[in-house]
Amino acid sequence: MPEIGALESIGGREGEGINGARPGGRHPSFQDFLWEALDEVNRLQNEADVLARGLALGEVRDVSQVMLAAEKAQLSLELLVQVRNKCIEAYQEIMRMPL
Amino acid sequence: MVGDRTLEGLGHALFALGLRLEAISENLANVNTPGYRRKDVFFRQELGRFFREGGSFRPRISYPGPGITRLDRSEVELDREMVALAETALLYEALVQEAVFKLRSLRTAITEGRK
Amino acid sequence: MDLFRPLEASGSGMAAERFRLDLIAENLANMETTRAERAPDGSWLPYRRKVPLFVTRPEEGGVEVAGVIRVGRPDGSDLPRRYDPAHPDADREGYVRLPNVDLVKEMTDLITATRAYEANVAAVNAFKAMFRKALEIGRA
Repeated sequence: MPEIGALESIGGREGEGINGARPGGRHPSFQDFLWEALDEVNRLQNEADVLARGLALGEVRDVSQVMLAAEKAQLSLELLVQVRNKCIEAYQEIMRMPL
Repeated sequence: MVGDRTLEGLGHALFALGLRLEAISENLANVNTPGYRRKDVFFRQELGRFFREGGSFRPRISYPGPGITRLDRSEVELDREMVALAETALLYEALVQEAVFKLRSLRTAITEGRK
Repeated sequence: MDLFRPLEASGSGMAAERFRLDLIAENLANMETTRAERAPDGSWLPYRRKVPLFVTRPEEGGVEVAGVIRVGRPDGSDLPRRYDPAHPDADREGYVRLPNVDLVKEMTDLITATRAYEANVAAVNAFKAMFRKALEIGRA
């Protein structure tokens, strides 16, 4: 996601790794929030995948669990995409400001 | 989704009702099996606790029969079991509908920001 | 298959009750059969009522027919007797031993089996309805 890299430079934190490492005493940045959100999306997608495979193998006990997991994963992804879009919009607006 | 136990709880209830349907199917298959002990699934208390405090959710599978097993007949009473069957299926469908509404509103909240 | 365990249980119930219905039909057909099998001494033994033995299947769930029970003593000594000296199978005192099949009992069992069969069908339909409804979550 190249947009996140662009945000990082706006934040003006030089020398900070892409992996969002948190040195002590710093407030969690928006960038951290995004990375956590991405982890969450990942986690939900994995859960949904495990259940989907379980469904195919007939190992799942109740189909509603599979459907709910898939929907949650989908919604979390949609949320992340929306947030990302907003970030890009904000970035573009800032870049348009005359200096 | 974050911090909202409603959707999570609905999922738990659906899971428990699925288990209950399984128990009822077992019971009905054995309605004429001598010595068979009736099974049931209880989860309301546990679900209430979950909504209040969060944490794990463990529905109870139990054998609430009269306790005195009659070896010449099944513990299952057909008519009562049919009522349980109807209850379970209808509640399940209602809760799925609830989950659908909840998911739709979440989706609306997420995507309505679009210009 | 864990997913469809309820269906397998219901299916086994339906199969078991159908088997019972088969035995009931056989009992009714043989209500007057005085020559069903031969005794060790070569004489004829009348038909004895058959009932299924249902047992729970602990692993796969549901029920199965473990065997068929022939009700009564193998030598037919507890079978009902009727006075009918003209009957080809009457004994020296003029009594005929008859099958221990009682019409009322068989009809009662028929109704029980039918109701149980229908109950299992209802369980299948409930499961299907629930399953299909759950799929709607994916269309939320």
